[in-house]
Amino acid sequence: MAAASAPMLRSAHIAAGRLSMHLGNGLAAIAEGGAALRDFCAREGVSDTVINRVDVIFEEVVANIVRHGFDPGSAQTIAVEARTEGDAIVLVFDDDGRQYDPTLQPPPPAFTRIADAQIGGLGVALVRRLARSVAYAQPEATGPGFSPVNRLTITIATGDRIPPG
Amino acid sequence: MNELDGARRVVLDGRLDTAGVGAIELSFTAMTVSAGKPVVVDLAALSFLASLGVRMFIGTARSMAAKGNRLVFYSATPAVMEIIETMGLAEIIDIAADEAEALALIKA
Repeated sequence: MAAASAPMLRSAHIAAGRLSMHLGNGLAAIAEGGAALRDFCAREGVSDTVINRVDVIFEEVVANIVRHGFDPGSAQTIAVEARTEGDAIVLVFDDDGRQYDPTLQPPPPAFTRIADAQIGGLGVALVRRLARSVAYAQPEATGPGFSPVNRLTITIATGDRIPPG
Repeated sequence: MNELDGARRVVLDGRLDTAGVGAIELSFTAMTVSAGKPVVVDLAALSFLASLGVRMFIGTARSMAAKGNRLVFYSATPAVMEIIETMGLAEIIDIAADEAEALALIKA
């Protein structure tokens, strides 16, 4: 378990059309980062329906990295950037955990009976169904002290946004 | 949670995210699977559902089906309903518009 008092949202910077955050290793990062992301989306005029999709995708990706990509209690980092781009929100997740490409995971089989429903691997499937596109890459180092191993770029259609302000 | 005519009603509220599922999964399973009767679940105050919550719902529905008891969800918000439909849950779990419809499904 991570240190209880360590801030999970280490930094957040909001500029016009862009939010940057650094999250620590712990599930509290989801709550703190998710709140900042929802606030950013609302400021950008994104509808409640799309904010929920962004919120679900953020939850799934960060929880997956913390639970499966990081070692418990280690000082690892997820850098998240959100930006508006035309009729979409683009989320970029860089992390320095274990190398993992979720786009290689096969989709769970379709089911019509409760006995056939697959329980594992639902998070990645949910992200792919809610997003317009999901792309994986191995990024270049972004600066001293943080050498990301994985980069996930997720584009979510916003439809018509309400202009901010 | 309370008992209705021939069924138990369970109310879920807040967020079924990683932390939310961790906090309630054991008690939700106890209230539903161990009820020994049909269960209707009020989702009106559930504001957020992600994959761990979907997994909990599938596991609960499977365990109840094995005991021959029905599980019906009702009054889901649009945000929660979108996740239910996106993940195909409506194919395997009864979804009702409101409590009256949920109880009618139980008795059907």
